[in-house]
Amino acid sequence: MNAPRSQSWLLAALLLLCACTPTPEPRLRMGTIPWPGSEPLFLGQQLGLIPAQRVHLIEYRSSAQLLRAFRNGAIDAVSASLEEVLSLEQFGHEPRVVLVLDASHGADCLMVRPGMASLSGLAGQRIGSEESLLGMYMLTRVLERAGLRREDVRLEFSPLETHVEAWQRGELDAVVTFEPYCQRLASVGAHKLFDSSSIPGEIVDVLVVRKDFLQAWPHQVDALLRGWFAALAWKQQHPEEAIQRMAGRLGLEPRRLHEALSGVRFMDAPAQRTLLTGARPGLQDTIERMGELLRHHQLLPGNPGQTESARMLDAAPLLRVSP
Amino acid sequence: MRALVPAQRAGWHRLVSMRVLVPLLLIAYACFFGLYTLRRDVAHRELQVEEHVRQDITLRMTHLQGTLEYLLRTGQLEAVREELAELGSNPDLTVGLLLDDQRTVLASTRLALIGQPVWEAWPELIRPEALARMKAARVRMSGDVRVSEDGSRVEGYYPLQLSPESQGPRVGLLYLQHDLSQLKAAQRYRAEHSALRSSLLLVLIAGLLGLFFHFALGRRVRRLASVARQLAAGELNARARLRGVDELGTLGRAFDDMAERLSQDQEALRRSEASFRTLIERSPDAIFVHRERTLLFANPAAVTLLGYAREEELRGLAVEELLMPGEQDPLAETSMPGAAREVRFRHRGGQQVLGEVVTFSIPFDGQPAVVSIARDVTERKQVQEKLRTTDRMVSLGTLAAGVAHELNNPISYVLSNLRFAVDELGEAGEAGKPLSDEQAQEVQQALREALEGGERMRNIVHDLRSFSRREDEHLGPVDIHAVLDSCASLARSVIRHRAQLVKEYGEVPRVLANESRLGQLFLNLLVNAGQAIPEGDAKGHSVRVTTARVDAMWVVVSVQDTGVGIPPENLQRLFKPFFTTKPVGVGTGLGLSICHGIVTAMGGRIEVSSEVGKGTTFRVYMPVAEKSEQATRGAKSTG
Repeated sequence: MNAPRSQSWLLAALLLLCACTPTPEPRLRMGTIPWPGSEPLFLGQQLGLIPAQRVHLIEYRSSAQLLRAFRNGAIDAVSASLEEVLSLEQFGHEPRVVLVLDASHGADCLMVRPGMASLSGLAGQRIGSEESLLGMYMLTRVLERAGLRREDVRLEFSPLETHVEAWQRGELDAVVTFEPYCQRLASVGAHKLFDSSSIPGEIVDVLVVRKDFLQAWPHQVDALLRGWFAALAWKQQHPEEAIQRMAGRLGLEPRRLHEALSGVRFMDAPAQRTLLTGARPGLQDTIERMGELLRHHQLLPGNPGQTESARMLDAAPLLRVSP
Repeated sequence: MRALVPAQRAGWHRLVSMRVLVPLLLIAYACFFGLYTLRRDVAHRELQVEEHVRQDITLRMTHLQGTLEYLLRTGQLEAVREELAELGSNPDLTVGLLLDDQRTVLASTRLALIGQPVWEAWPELIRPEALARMKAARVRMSGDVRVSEDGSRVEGYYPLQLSPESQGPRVGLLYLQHDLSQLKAAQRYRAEHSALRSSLLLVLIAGLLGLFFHFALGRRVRRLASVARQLAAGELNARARLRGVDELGTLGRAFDDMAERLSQDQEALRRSEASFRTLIERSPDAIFVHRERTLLFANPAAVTLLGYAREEELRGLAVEELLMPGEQDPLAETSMPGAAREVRFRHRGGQQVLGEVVTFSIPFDGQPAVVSIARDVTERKQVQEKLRTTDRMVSLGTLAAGVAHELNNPISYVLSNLRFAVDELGEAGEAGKPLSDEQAQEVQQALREALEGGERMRNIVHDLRSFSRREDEHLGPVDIHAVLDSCASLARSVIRHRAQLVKEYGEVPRVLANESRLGQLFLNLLVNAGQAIPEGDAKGHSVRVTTARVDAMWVVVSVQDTGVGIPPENLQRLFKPFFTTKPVGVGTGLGLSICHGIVTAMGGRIEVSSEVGKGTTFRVYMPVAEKSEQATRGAKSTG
């Protein structure tokens, strides 16, 4: 009787010993850029819904910087648009789309000088844009609508932050950009001639996680997803307070932020499942259409008609978090 | 209750057994050693982390200082902000701030802080010590990277030239705060992990050691213990038969040898015990073992002696119950071991059984006890008594002829004298004439002689009577000369034709003896002396009877003859019963043995010396009566 009891005491002592320090797990390093669609992440972290010891948010200044960091392995996850996801896949970075963060429904815009009434007026104008695939895609869609070719306009590539100043200096006639810069430009007299509400479902931001991280630390990803849904729910329940909390970071007044956010559609769990799961996930169609388009315009290497791999979508974390 | 105690102790016993104790000690050692090294290792690793991060931050800030100063000089604020944002990819970097000379945040890893005054953006930086370090960095224009006092973080302060020096000294500040807790936790985890691994390894070794003890030692030790218990319980054929050439194997073989020897010894002991038991049970002598006057054991002979049917009936009886009343502790151990005593036992039927008893002490059942060995001498005593009588009769027979002869002579002359007197008186009566004086004198003479003859015959008859008085065994003062005279006259007929009897009486007191017995003794000695001398030369031989006083206590009577003598080899056996050199029919062989018995019974002793061809001398020592008489009288008066 006694001997086994004392042995189990010893065992308990040993277990206690290994319980001293929890296994150190690397935090999910997630890069963001200033974009209203990413705000619920910061709101979640502020509220403790996305635990800081599991998810580390990095605030990059531009999508170029963000993607560079992802490509270099400095971060494990990014909030990226579909075009960027396709590009990452193309270059073998093994991105895994685990969540649709938002769909731009007006938050991506073409801001022009007040005098310009139609898209055809863009011919020969100086159009500012970020040197990114998203910017190129948006520009391509705008030019398509205007019936112009790229040669018909003067493209000025510069970082997003510099556009407002360049506008004020009169160096640009039009800018392809997105919130919060649309609002900022509007505040200095630009007006919106075209936005993403005209091309619904095309500008989609997704949460991309590197494949190896997802395999090694799936729980960190789950924590992020869980926090994301919790933050959205909180935002739903406390719209005013949420706006107040989010406004400072993007440098917008609450009213402007509200407007900016109105151009962004967030997806709840059922919508996520429609997009990510099933025999033919909804997002797969969008990705393929996007790929075809990008290749058509030679924005993505490869021949038009090439099918995109379905392996980019990984609904497992979503199913774990919201079964 | 009693059965419970060993059961409870069994658990602890298992704990202190080698196969558990040694591994337990090893585990305890592993735990203590593990904890000790863990503490040291953790401290060491934490120091390493601090030093490493401090160096890393110094390097990074030095690099940033140059880059940022260049970008600021060229007015690329956006690039500066990107540089700082880039830092954010390190999860342990709590914050990175670039302050201008007005302490407003120019760039940060956190977007929300940009443009805010420092006291709002990062209140920690307006604490006095932080301000002092900022000031020092600005004044000295050198970076300062330190580990905080609690070791939880590393903070770096670097001064930054905000604009070309030509435009005036605008100095900003780059501040990085690096959290160490995660890195330290990781190191601690690794240290614990390695300690755990080594502990588990030791536990494994302990387990193997336990198994080793169990199989190599424990099982064999238990086998040995079980066999030892079997041996203790009497199973002498149990053997351990341990294998192995180690110490335990050797011990096992030695143990088996011991068991073998024990078994043999036990068998020998059993056999010897059986022999002794048979010996005791078949012994014709009665054997009693008793302790503190209680009988513990009696053999069948003892049971028979006392008339019982079974030994169990005797066992436990008090010793007194076995004896005739009045026996004074006769079964107690005597001061003379081996000396026999006569004891009167009481037969179950009440009659007396006479035993000759030897008593000594032995250990019985591990405790001292007394053994009494008794021989039934009742019959022997009776036979002896009969023999003594027979011997006397034989002596009388021997004497008969002599006595007849002795009587014949006086009878013949008494008769002839009486016949002469009758004739003389008859003749005178017939003649009617009175006896002449001469005749009267002759008749008177004849009658006187006849009277003398009658006197003599009466004396002879008296002597015979006193000699054959057998019922009286009483000891008393005896005039030894009177006894000797009687004997001499009785033995005269035997001696007369062979030797001259010479009496040399000294001044001796009366001796303590039985007159009749004493007479038998001396008659025997005198007849023997006479018979030792061949007939024919009566003048040349003599039988000399001498009395003398030895000392106050003793009187000695010597009977010396000049006969054939006794060879020395026969002297030893002289007093043994049935020893005789005489022809068959002459003697019984009991004479001298009875003499010896008579003398010793009366408290005297008898000695013999002899020379072949010269003669033999018997000396009889008898105690002086006076003193004993007084003592006897005293005893009687007190009795």
